[in-house]
Amino acid sequence: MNTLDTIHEEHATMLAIYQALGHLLDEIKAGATPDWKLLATLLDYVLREPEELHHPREDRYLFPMLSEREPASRALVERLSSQHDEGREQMGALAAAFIRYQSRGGEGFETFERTARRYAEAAVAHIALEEHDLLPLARKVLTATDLAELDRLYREDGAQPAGEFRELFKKLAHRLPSPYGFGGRPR
Amino acid sequence: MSELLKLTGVRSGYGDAVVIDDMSFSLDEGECLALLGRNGVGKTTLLATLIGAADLHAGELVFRGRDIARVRSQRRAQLGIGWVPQERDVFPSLTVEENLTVVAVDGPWTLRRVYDIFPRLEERRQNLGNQLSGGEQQMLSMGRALMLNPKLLLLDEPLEGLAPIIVQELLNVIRSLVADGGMSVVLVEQHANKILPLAHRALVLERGRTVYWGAAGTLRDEPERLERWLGVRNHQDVRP
Repeated sequence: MNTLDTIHEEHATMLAIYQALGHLLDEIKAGATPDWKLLATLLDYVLREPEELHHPREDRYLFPMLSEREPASRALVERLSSQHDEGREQMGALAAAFIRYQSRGGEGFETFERTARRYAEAAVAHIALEEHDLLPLARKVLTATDLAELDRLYREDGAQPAGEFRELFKKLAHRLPSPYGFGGRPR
Repeated sequence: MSELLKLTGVRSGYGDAVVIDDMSFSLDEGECLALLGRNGVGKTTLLATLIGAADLHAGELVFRGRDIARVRSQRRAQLGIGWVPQERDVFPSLTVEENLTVVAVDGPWTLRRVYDIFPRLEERRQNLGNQLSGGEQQMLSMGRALMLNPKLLLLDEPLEGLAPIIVQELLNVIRSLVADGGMSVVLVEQHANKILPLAHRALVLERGRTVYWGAAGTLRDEPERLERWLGVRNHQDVRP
């Protein structure tokens, strides 16, 4: 599995997380009692994984390498990079909406839901752009030597947080209620 | 790595019906093979041939240096072929723990190790097989196959019908099994993009015959051929 496959896998994991978040929001809206610990763990993943693992490595290694090898990719790379910045700004709003919602014992769900869905929609659109445009271009343009160098950079940079997020994802998968995860039936 | 499995000119099916024809490939110890193809091309029949549940009409089937063409299913399992069927097939009247231990064979895979990769099964160890959700049943089915301590693990569409987060977690488990190198894996799946990144080799079937046999990475980078053979675009499904 090379770095481009790793990026693809991280996308698939985030999409699964966003889908689970959408299901949890649907259930709360339908009257289910919020599982605060589960929601907090899910948001911890949503807010930290892109910022601490996925985006920094793209910004530091993949984007510059692709821009250098294929000048025509620069507009795409700039767009994706600015989406990273926008996402970072939206994270604060999402965290604040969740803290308000939780601290008021369930009041303010509408604001939290709206903020969370807007954040997830933007993130999914960003992933779609990378899946449809960035990764196919990278597979076409980068040589075997480039990919080996990218593998090395990613491996040396992200090993520790990758392991941490892997464990966090495992916890989520086993805690999310069936049929979204391995956990118990939704109440 | 030494050769674990070798098929030469295999023709197989059910009764007189031939489903697999002129099939030849080999798999080394520790390798993962992605077995791909549209519905009804013979993927499950090929697995059934390996475990002895389909009729072998012609060809050679060698596992760990031994001709197993005439060896019965039960003996093939004892020799080290573990199978996780599409139907999951857990014993409904046994508890989770009984499902796991009833088939156990001594080796590196113990009850503790299965519980470590599937903590949910430990939580549910006293529940009956028929009280489990679909995802839990799939975990149990995989855990039971691991308790056989197989040299070759056959997984028949293990991700089918499961929620994305469960799919990702099972892929993580399969990836760690492959990286561990302790066993070879044959993974049948319709969604090539999910399994090609973790496979070493790929085999694509059309109407019971091989149309591609080679490196999984090479196939991964040929979306046009994948689309032609599998009828799907080989990119991530990005629907939320």
